[in-house]
Amino acid sequence: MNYIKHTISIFFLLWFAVASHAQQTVTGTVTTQSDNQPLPGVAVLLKGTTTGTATDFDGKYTIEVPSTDGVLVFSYVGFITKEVTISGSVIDIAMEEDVAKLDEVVVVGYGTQKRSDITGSVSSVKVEELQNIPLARADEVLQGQIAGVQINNNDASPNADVSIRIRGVSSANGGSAPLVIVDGVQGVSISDVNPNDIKSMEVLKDASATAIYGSRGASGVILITTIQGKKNTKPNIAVSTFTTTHQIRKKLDLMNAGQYARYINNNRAARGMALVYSADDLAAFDKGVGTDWQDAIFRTGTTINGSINVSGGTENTTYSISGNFLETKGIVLNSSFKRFSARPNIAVDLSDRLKVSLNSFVNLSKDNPIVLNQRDRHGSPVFSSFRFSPTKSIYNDEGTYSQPGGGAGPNTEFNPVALALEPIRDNYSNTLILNPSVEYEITEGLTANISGAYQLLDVENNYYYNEKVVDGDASDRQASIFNSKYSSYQNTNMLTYDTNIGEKHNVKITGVFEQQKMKYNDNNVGASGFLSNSTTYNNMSLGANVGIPTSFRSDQSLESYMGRLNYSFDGKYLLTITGRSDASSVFAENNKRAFFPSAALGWNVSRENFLANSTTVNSLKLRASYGEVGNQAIAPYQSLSTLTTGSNFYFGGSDVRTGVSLSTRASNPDLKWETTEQLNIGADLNMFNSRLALTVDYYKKNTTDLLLERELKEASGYQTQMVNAGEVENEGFEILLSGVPIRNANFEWNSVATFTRNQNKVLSLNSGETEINLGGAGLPGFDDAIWLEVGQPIGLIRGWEYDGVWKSDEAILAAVYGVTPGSPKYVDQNNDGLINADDVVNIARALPDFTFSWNNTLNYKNFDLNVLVIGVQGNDIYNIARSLQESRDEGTSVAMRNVWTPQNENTNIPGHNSLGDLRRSSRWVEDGSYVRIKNITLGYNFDDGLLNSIGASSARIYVTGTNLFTFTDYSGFDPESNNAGAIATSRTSRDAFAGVDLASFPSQKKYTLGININF
Amino acid sequence: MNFNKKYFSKKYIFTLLILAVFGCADIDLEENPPSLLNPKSFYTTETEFEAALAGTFRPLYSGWSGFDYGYPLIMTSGAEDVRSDAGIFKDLDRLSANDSDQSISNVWRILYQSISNANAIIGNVTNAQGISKQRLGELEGQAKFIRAFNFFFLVRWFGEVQLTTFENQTFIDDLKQSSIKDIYASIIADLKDAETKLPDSFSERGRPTKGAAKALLAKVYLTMAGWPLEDTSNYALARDKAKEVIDEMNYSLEPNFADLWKAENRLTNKEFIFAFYGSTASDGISASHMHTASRFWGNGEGGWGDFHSEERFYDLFPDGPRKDATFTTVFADGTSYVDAGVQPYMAKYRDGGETVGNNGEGFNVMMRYADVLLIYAEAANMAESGPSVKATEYVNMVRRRANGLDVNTPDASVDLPSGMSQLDFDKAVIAERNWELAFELNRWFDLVRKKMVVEVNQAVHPNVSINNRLLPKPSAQLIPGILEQNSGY
Repeated sequence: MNYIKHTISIFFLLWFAVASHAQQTVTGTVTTQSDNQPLPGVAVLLKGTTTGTATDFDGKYTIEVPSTDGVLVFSYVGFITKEVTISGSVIDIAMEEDVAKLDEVVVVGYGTQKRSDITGSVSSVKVEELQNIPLARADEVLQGQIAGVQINNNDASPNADVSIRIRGVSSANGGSAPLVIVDGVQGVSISDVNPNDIKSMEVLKDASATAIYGSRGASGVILITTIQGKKNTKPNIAVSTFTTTHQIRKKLDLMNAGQYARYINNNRAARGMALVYSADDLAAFDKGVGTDWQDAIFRTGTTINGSINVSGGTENTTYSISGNFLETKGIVLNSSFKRFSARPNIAVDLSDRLKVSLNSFVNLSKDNPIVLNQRDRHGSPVFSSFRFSPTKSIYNDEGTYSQPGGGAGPNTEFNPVALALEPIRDNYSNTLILNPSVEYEITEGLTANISGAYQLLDVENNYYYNEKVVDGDASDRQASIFNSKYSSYQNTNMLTYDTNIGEKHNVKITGVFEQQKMKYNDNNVGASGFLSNSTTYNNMSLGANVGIPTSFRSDQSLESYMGRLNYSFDGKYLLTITGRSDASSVFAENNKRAFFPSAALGWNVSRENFLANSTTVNSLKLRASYGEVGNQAIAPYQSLSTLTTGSNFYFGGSDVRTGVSLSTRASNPDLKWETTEQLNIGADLNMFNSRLALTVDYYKKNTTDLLLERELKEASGYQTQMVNAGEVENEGFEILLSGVPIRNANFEWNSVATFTRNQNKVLSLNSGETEINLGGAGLPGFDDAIWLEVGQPIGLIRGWEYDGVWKSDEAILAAVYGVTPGSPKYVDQNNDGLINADDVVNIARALPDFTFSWNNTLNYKNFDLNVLVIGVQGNDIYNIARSLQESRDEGTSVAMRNVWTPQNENTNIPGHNSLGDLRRSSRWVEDGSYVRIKNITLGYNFDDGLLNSIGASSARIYVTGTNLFTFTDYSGFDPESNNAGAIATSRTSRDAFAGVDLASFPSQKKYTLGININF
Repeated sequence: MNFNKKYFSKKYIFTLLILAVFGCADIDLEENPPSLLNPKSFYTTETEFEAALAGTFRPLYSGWSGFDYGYPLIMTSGAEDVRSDAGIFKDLDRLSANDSDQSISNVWRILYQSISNANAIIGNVTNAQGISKQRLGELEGQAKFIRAFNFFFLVRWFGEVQLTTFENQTFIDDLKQSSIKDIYASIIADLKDAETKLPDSFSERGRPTKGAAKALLAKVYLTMAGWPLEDTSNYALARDKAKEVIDEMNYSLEPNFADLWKAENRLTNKEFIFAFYGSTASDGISASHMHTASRFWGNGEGGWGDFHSEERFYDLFPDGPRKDATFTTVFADGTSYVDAGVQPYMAKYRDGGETVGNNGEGFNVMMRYADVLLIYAEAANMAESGPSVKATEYVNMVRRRANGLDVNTPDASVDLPSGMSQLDFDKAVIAERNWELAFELNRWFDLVRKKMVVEVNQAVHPNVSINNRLLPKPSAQLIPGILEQNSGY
C-alpha cells in the first residue's frame, strides 16, 4: 500500500514540477487529523489549473500561485479530498481519513485481496490500536477483538497456556486449535509472536477462507504478517518498554489456624475420636501461630518487557529488525519466564520483476513453571495451599519443612512453600524460523512466488527434586532431562495470474503446489538416589538408580495442490472458488488423499446504481459461502498397528525381562481426517462516512467423521480402535459493530462491540451409541464425569443432583436411603429408594451461551484512553477443587464453619458424620458467567517541542490496569482460567474437559507503566 | 544492488529450475515408524520371542487388575474362605454378581490380552530364525502353557466363551462362543504340547516348566471330571498326570507350612510349581500389591482392607500351625480382629518382601505340590472305587505338615484312617483342599465342580442358585448370537 502511495506521489511531483510557474508562494504543512502526523506525498493542486505540487517527507509543501483568490485542492489516497480557499501565505491543513474509500488490502491465504473483493468471513484485528496496550503475546491480542473468536487462559502462569477457539469446538479428540500462519509459514506458535512485530493479523473463519488450507483449516486460520521496512525512508527506531506489577486477583476464603483447629476438633469430637488440638494449641493459634499458606506462596509478580525495532529502506531494499526481551516473575514463588526474540526481515528488489526476501525469527525462552493439578511430593503448591493445615508453620524448629499428617490435613500433599521453592524445573525452548522467498513477475499479471520455510523447535526440559519436601534422604532425590527437536520444512510454489478482461471482468487465478515435511524426535533420561544435590540434573551418573532411557522419532509429510479462482464483475458481483487436495502421510493407507472444495458469492450492493450515490451508506456487501474443510487431527502412525514396549515382566531371575506386547489399540487402515462442512452468510455495512460499521455473520458448521475411540470386544486382545464416526454441529452468529460516536477537533471516541453466539451439539456418535464416557474430571471420586451425548454439547458433565442436606425432621426418609440427617441429599431421579448410577444426570455444560466484548478508545488532545470489557454468559464451571476445600474431615474453606449440626440445620454443608458419597454432584457446579474490565489504558502523547529536544518523532507514555474489575458469582480463583488442559489425555482434547476447575495458577490484577518512543 | 537485466533474460528457465529443485523434495506418504516395532516383522529372533513372552505374562501381573492384586481372588469370593465388604467387590461374595462388576471385566480383559499375545508367539514360530529347535520349543511351550492357563480360568468362571487360538482376531464379532468341551480340548492340546517342549526347570522360577504343565493338566482333568462336563473318565487321567509330577521328584512339601508364605523363600522353596513374582525394580514394574490389599487398614496394619477372610470359615478351620499361618487374627498393635470389630484377615499374602510405595516383591502361587498330592488322592479314589494306600498317604502328608509334624512319619493323631469309604474319603480330600489351599483360588472352583455352591451358601446367602456356578460375562463384551450371557444374569 505504501508502495502505491509513493508511486502516486512521485508521479504527481513530476507532473507538477513540469507544469508550475513561479508567481506567489504559499507554504504549509499537511498532517493527518487522527494522529497529527505529517503526511508526505499529498497532491496540492490549484483548482481549475494544472498547477500543483506534493508534500515532502515532513508533510511540507510550497506552491506558486498566480493570485490570492484561488482554491487549493489537497488529495491523497485514503483521505477525504479537501478544498481550501487561499487566505494568506501559510496554509496548514489536517486531512481526514476516508475509511470508506480506503479499500484496505487484506491478507488472505496465499495472497492478498482488496477488502471489497472478499467473499469469505475474514476479520482483521486492529493491530495498531492494540500496540498501544502492553501485551507480550500475539494470542492475547486477539482477546475481545473479533466476533467468533474465544480466548481462554488455561492458567495465568508466566508462560500461560492460552487456547483459541474459532466458531466453537468441533472435535472431541482431534483438537480445535486454529492453524497459525506467520508470513506464510504454517504451524507457528502464536504465543512466541511479539505484538509489536505484527503488521496485520487476520482471522479466517468460514470455509471459503479456510478451504485453501484443506485438511488443516477446519478450526479456522490466523494469518499474521510481520512488519517490513518502508522504501526510501531513513531508519526509524521504535523503542517500547513496559513494566508490570502482578497481584493475585482473588484469594480463596480459607480458615485461619484457630478456626481450622476448632473445626477439626469439632469434627473429631462429633465422630467420637480424640481431639487433635489442645487448649494450649488453640491459644497459640489465636496468638498467631500457624500459616496462611496462600500468603506464604503468593507474592507480587513483575514483568519487564522491552522491544526495539529498526526499520527503513532504500530504493530497492527494505529492512526491519526487531528485538524483544520479556521477563516475568510469577505470583507463585519461584515461577518465572524469560524470553528473548529477534525478527530480522529483509526484502530486496533485484529488478522491476524479481524480488527476494528473507524473514527470520529467533526465540530463546526459559520457563521455570510450577506444577499444576498434581497432588503429591512433586505437586502443585497452589493445590496444597488450600489443603495443608494452616496450623503448621512453614519450617520446623530445626529448619526443615513442616510435614503433612499429625491428625489433620492430608497425608500425601506436602508443604506448599517447599513445593514451590525446592523442585528445580528449567525448561528451555529455542525456536528458529527462516523463511526465504522469491517473487518473479513472468509477464504482466502473471507472477510466480517460490518460498521455503524452515522451523526448528528445540526443547530441553530439566527437573531436579531434592529430598527437602518430604524431609527424606538421598533416595528421594530425582532428576530427569527431556530433549526434543521438532523441525519442519515447507516449500510453497505459487503462480498468480491477475487480469482484466474488457472493462468489467477481473479474473485472478492462483495455483499452488506445496510440500511439507515434519520431523520430530525426543529422548528422556532419569535417575534417582543422587549422592549429592550439588549438581542437580546436570550429572545423571551421580544417581544410584538409573531409569530406562526412552526415545522416540516420527516423520510426517504433506503434499498439496491448491487452486483458487477470484472473479469480479464490475466490482459488484464476486465469485471465489477454491479447492485443495492434500495427501498426508498420517492418513491411513486407504485414505491418503483428500479434497476440500469451497465456493463463495459476494454482492457489493452499494455499487449498484440505487446506492452508489448514497451519502448514508458508504458500502454494503452481502456474502455467502459453502465449503468443506478438514481437521487432520491424526498423530503420525496412529492408524498403524504397532507393538507396545515396556511390557516388562519379572520371572524371578536376577533381572526384570524386557517385554513387548501387542498394542491394545487396533489399527485402522481407513482412518482419515474429520470433515467440516460450513455454510456462512454475512453482510458488511459501512455508514455515515465510516462513523458506523456493522458486520454480521451466520454460520452452520457440521463436522462429520469425528475421530472417536471405539471400544472393541476384548476377546480380540484389543480394547479400542480410532475410527471416524459421529457428527458435531456448531451453529451461531457473530456481530461486530464499530462506530465513532464522537469525533471533533479535540476529541474522538471509537467504539467496537462484538457479540458471539455459538450453539454446539453432538448429532451422532459411533453407530448404535448415544453416549461416550470420556473419563473422570481429574480428582478421585469424580470418575465418569465427562461425557459426549447425542443432542448435548461437548463439555458435558454428569453427576448426581445435589439437594442440600437431610434435615433432622427428615430422618425417616433419610433412613430409606441408608443415611442420617446431616448427610448430603441427592435427587432420587427414578424414585427407586436408591441413590446409584441410575440417578446420575447431566449437571453442567461448559460452553457458554454467548460471549461479548466492548472496546473503546478515546482520544482527547494528547491523551488516549482504552477500555476493554469482555464477557462470557451462561457457562457452567465444575469447581471440583472446592470439593477438597470443603472436604468433610479436612476442609479448609470458611464454608466449613457452617457445617450441618442438629443446631445448624439451615445449611448446604453436610455434617461431620454425614453418610453417602460426598462427590460427583451438582454441589460443585457454579455459574461461570462473568463480565470483566479486561483493560484500562491511559496514554499521553508528548508534544513536538519536547520530542524535538530529544530527537524523537513521537513518544507516548501510558499506564494500564488489567483485570481490575470482574463481575461474577464464581467462587474459585477465576472464571476465565481453569486448568482443564491438565487432565486432557492424548485420547481427548482439552475442549471436552473445559469447565473443570482444578485450581490452576490464579489470575492477577496487573498494573503497567510503559513508554513508546520513535526516533 | 542493480543486476544487469540481461542476466534475467532467461527468466523462464530460471523459474522452472527453482520449481524443479523444490519439486523433487523428498515427500514420502508411506509411514515407516522409526521408533515403533512392527508386528509383521517382529517375531523372528530369540530375543524378540523372549520379549514377546514377557509381554504375554505381563497383563496377568501388573496394573492392579490381575494376580498382582485381588480381582481373581474376589471372583472366587463366593466360597467361604474369601470375603469383601468393599462396595465394588461385595456383590461377588454375596453371590449376586452383576455383569458390570469391575473385577470381572478387568480379569476378562487381562486373560484375553495375555491370550492374544500368546497367539502371536505361537502363530509366528514358523518365522523364527537362528533359534535351536529345543529353545524354540521352550518358548512355544511357555506360550501354550499360559494360553491354556488363561482359558482354564475363563472356562471355569464363565463357561462358554470365544476360543481365540489364532492371530489377529479382527473378526471377533463373528466368532461364536465355543462349547465348554471344545475349550477344554484346546486347553489339553496346549498343555500336552507344552509338557513335551518344556524343560524340567528354568533358571528363573517364574517360568512354567514341564512339571507345571503336567500339574496343570492334572488339575484340568480333575475339573473335567466334575461339573459341568462330568466326564468321570478323566479321574484316571488326572491321577496319572499327578503321579508323573510326583514320580519325577522335582518338587516336595516344604517342611514348615509357615515358611511357604515368607517372601524370602519365594524363589527357593521346593513346593512352588508355578507362581507369579513381583519386582520393585524401577525399570518396568510388575509388582505385587497383595500385601497392602490383603492387610487391614486399621490398627497399625497399614493395608487397605480390600478383602479378607470370613469368621465362618475361620471358626471351622482346624487348629494348628497351618491355621496360624493362614490367618491374621491379631493386628500389628496387638488388637484382635474381634476387638477391632472386623473379620479375620488373610496371612498368606501379607509378606510383600521389599516394598517401594505400594509395590512389593511379593508372589502369588498358582500351583504347588500339596495341590498335586491332593489331586492324586481325589482322582485315584474316584478312579479306583476307593482310597488306595498311596492316595491316603498323600493326604496324610499334607495333614501332618499342617500340624507341624514330619510329613513322612505316620501319626495316628492326624492321619486319615485306612479303610474309609470312597465317599468319606472324597469328602475328606475336598475338606483338606479347603484348608490347605485357602485363599489360593481353590475352594470356589471345588464348589463348582463338586456342585456344592448352593449347599454351602444357602444358609448365609439365601439368594444363591445353581446359576451362580458361572459368573456373568462382562456386559460390554456380549455380542448377541455370538457371545451370550450365562443364565440367571
